[in-house]
Amino acid sequence: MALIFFLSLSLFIGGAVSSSKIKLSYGFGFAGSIGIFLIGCYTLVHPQPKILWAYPLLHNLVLTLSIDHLSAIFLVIAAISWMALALYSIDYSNFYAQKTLPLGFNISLVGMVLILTAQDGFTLMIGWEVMTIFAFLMMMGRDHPFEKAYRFLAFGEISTVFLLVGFSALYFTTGSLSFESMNKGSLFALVMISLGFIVKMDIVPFHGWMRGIYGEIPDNTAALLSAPVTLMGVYGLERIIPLLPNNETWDIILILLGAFSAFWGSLHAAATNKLKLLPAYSTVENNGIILAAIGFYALAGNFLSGNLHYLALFAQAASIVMAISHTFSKTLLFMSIGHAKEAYNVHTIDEARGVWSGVGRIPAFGIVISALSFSAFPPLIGYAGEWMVLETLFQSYRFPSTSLAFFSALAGVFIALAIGIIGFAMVKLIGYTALGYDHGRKSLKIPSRLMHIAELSLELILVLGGIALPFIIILLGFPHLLIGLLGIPAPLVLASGQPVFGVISPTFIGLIMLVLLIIPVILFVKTKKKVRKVNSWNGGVKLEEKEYFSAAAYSQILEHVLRGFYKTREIKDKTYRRIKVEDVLIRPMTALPRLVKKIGERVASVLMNGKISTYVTYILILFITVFIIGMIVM
Amino acid sequence: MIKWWPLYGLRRKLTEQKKYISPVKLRNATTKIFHRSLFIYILDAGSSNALNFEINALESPQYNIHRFGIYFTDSPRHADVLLILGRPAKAMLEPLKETISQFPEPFYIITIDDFPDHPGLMDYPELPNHVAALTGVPSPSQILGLLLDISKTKRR
Repeated sequence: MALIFFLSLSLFIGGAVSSSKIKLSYGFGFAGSIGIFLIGCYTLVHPQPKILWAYPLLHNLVLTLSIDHLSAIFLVIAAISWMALALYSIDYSNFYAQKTLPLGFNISLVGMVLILTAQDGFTLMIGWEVMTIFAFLMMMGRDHPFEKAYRFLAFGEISTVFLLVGFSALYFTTGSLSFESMNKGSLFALVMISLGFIVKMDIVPFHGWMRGIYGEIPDNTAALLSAPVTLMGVYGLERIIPLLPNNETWDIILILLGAFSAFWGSLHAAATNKLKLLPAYSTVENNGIILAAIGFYALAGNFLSGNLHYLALFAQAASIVMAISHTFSKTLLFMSIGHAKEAYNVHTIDEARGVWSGVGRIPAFGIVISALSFSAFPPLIGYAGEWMVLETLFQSYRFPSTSLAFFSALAGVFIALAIGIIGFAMVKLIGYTALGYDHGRKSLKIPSRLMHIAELSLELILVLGGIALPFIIILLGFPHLLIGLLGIPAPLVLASGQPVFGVISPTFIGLIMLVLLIIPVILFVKTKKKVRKVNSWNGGVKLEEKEYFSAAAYSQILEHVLRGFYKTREIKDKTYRRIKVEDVLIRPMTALPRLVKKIGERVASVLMNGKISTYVTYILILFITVFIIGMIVM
Repeated sequence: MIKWWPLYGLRRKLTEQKKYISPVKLRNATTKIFHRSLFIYILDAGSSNALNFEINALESPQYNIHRFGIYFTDSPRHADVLLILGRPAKAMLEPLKETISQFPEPFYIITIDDFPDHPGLMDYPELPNHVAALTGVPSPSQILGLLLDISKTKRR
């Protein structure tokens, strides 16, 4: 297995070396991802931990790469996303011919593999930094949006700093960086390391870098940043939560932070009209839900009673199923939107109408399926994931303490709201972009065979993943969550509590929907009437583009009702008026650069004011200071 | 002393005529489904104002077309008959085609060309279901007769 592992890594590096031949480079990335996928699948079936590589750097620091069941789960999820992305990028490179793109892609995959197989903090941080820096390289699209891309880098480095402080604290208390010694770690280490992962998951106070940058970076980069890179944060939390000693208050903070993040992300996904900012905010929402599930898993894991132990396992399964759903759906959504966006060469939801008739059936179907998965439409896998999380939070009454039950239920309220509002947002994406009326707009002819293969395979995975949920749950290692009930045979029903609290069976729902759909389809085909399409009546004059019922108009009711959250205001101009909403929580992030600039200007105006006497004084003071410091050191 | 000629004039011009007779024959046979209600959309494509006065008179108590179930509507999507007044000016050609595209089936088109030799106006484009083409300025009774012919409504 180690052979295939290093072969895959060398394929990634080969891809990076051959980045001047862009398509070949992505091909290398695809081949390497297949290798990683095979290793993950093998370990899922044979879940014994296996050390792949160990190098004793110092006497108490052994750099270790090993693969166990949890690594394998995330390796498989990430590798499927990488394969689809690499395949997609081969065609997509016709629009973005920068050599930094395949270079960054391949090396950041290496970084992610290191993260997923690391067994000590040092290796994990190497992988973390490699991933962040090379993902940053990929953001250099056509327009080189340096300033906004640096924000991403800044947040990536904040995450690294948190991890650095956390692992230092761990080393301080335990004298080792390996994951096995974590059970003796402190609360400070727990908080810092989890914050490091949370920053990477774009949880709410740390999501500010997305606004503005997502529209400008290439779509494969956006998909990589949004799906597999945030998955690394999820993996990190899943990895450290059972290892580090637990703290109830911190778990509750995690749950509430996740729930609020879900709410906030969905709120702004519903308000935005940018094609790529909507999925970006949906990432904030989904990762919030995942974080809440992980927090619940940590909280319920503190208790030893049978009910709560079952609940902890269920919450863990929920978080992993949500992570699977989010990674696949988000990759597919970004790929389909990128396809439509490049074919139309536009940026907003209103401009990219009618993908179904204008661009193609497969990208439109990709948008529909992934958006439905985010809106928890049965029997897709997103439905299973979101049901599991809600069902977990419903059972907060099982906690012995009232405060724990109250806060978990509060998180449940936020998450239920979030799922509702994200449905509203996704209807916008489906109704306008995917299935809207194209108004005779013609798209560019683009080479898209590999794009279609990548999109189609993820669409199949999303549909089959929901129907084959019992199989996935067994592979994830939770076979005891599956029962038989009400005449449905044994492994097909997923039970959320012990004794049974709630059950679903996406397999059964899928079968029933298939049978029930046959009748309407037959009726539709038999009684198909000729439909004449005309433009909207506008007094005989053809409607202009700006006169259609726009996506902004669609979400305006929400922006008005929730104006307290959105800070909705009308901007009056000489020629036009529009409604503006604002993400209040990124104000600190935008205020910081302004503050630095202001202080810099003040200092400059004091020091460099053109007077020679000030310069001489400055140099004199500097000289004396250096002299004194030198004296002290000597 | 009462002169005789105002009486003559009132009888000939200003009173309601007993029979509404269309000046032209319909080109195609029309359906009978409009015999209780007929909705008309008027498009003034380029007429002199004379035709508008005649149309306006149709709604007055003297003619009272509503008793036949004939109404005017503001949207072609609700209408059964398109009444085009005048030959179209150049800028009205596109709105005319757009209007025709909005009509629900079945529908009929009537054109009234009030000034056949006017130099600045265009020819009609190809009109579907063009059942009647009038020239000159017809009287309200004649227009009503034509509408009743189209809707196949009994004259009462």
